[in-house]
Amino acid sequence: MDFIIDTVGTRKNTQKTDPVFLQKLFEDYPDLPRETTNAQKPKEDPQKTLVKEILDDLKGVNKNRKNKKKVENKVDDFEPTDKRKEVKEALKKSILNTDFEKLETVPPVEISERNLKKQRKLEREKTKGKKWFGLPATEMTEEIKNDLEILKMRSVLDPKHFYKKNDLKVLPKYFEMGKVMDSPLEFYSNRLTKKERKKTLVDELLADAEFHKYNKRKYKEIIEEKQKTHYKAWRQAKRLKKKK
Amino acid sequence: MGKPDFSPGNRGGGGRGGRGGFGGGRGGGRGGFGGRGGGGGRGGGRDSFGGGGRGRDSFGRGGGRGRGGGTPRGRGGKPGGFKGGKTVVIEPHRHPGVFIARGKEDALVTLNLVPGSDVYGEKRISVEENGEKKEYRVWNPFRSKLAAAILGGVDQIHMPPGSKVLYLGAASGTTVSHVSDVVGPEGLVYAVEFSHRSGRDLLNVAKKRTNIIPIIEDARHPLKYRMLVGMVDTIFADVAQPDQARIVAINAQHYLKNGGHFVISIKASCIDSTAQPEAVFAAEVKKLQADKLKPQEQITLEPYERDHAVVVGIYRPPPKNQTG
Repeated sequence: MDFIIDTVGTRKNTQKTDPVFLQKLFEDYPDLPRETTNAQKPKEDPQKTLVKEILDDLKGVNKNRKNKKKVENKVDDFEPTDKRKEVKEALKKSILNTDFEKLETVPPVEISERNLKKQRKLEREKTKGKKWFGLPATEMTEEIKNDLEILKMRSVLDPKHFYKKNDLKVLPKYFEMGKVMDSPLEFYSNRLTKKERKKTLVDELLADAEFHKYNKRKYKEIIEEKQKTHYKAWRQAKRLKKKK
Repeated sequence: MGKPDFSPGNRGGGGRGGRGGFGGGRGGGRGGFGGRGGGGGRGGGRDSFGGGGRGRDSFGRGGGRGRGGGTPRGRGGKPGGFKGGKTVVIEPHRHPGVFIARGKEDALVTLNLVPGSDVYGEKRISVEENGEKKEYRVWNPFRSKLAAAILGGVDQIHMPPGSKVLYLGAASGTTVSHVSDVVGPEGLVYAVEFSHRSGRDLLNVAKKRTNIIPIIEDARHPLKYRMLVGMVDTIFADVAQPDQARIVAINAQHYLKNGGHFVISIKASCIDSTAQPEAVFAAEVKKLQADKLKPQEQITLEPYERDHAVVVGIYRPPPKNQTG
């Protein structure tokens, strides 16, 4: 027993299923998609068709399917208007989006000159500008801040090193954190081993034993001196020392 | 060396007993030009001769010593802050296109135009920002007079990114490579060098850097490279020849735009080895003025080079009443 799925109507249906008519039609229009007729044709056992299709695929002879794909593509080109490139471009500035109804007020079509200026300024402030090849304003995390503060107070780090004066009064806005690259010429003379490499300046200092020793000694000296005398007397002595 | 009767006048008498000028008197440094008199003008205007901020460059002497010096570790302490793997902070310098790397020591750096390659074995600093890799190259003031001038606090170098520079006396192209970094991909450096031997190195540098145009020609004959060079914004000259002023002047006449600038490094001993350096500098400046090269600033490269001066100025400045 065969079933006929009737979707269109009796007259057309009979016309379409008429094998002689179909034959003629395909001869006249070889491009015509055949699967439409397939659907209208009496359905076969689904498993059978599947096996047949796979076999055909393997042979690579199923021209029908190729044809089908082509036609489908053509249909796609016309169907969803909002997916097309030109439409998309034109709709880019549109305020009538899907959530337009949910908005409280209608958004302005043109941004005011003032707002535009503000936006441009914000954009400009993100980098130091063309003159310094767009040096970015790096985000100030806790680690980076600590590093910069170490740099600011670096004159106390090394007793043997002289720095001119503190020219880093405020923390910089535009900067980058970099790493000195290894040079093959200085493999033995000027290189940090893998263990000595640290992520930040603070970590580098903490790993420095000599620095620790010096710091501890200095700290002890100060504490001892403080304990020897009364606090206020110590302050006075320190001030006098500075004056000299 | 030296042509005894080249420099005008002031030789200071016949008896050239001691080498008077060498040890002392040179210290003054940034002398004023043209009867300006007041040397003290720290608060002076921007283009006041000689005055004007020595600025914020606090570079330790040992900063970029690197190689070449007799003692590799000047201070006798721990080796410098530029070991491979150290962290540094890159900050913009006062001059556009130039940066400072701050660590335990400071160094002048420029953004490497060709990441992944060095020119003369200099140190490099890599920066990774959002997956983008940048590279900076350390600029050694002991090897480059321009770097020494910048560290000496010169007011302007007139080589912002995008400008065109005619570089006379390019040598092996060490400083030229940094200038090409500073002017960036939109700028242009015409590098003129006469010697074939160092010109070969220059060509190798120019192979990698597209904004350098190498010219192996005598800078005394600017017409020979007229087909290569266009109008330029700035002339940098480091030719160390007795007729240096003339060389700069004829090149300026050919290629420097009106109101363009020149930066000249003068080596006193190359011009007159017997006269006092200040006298030599003054005589050179006089010669420049005669050719409409109006000097605006002069500094010595004291800690980095001996008896050198850098003169910065403007060529055919626009008349004052028109601009005002």
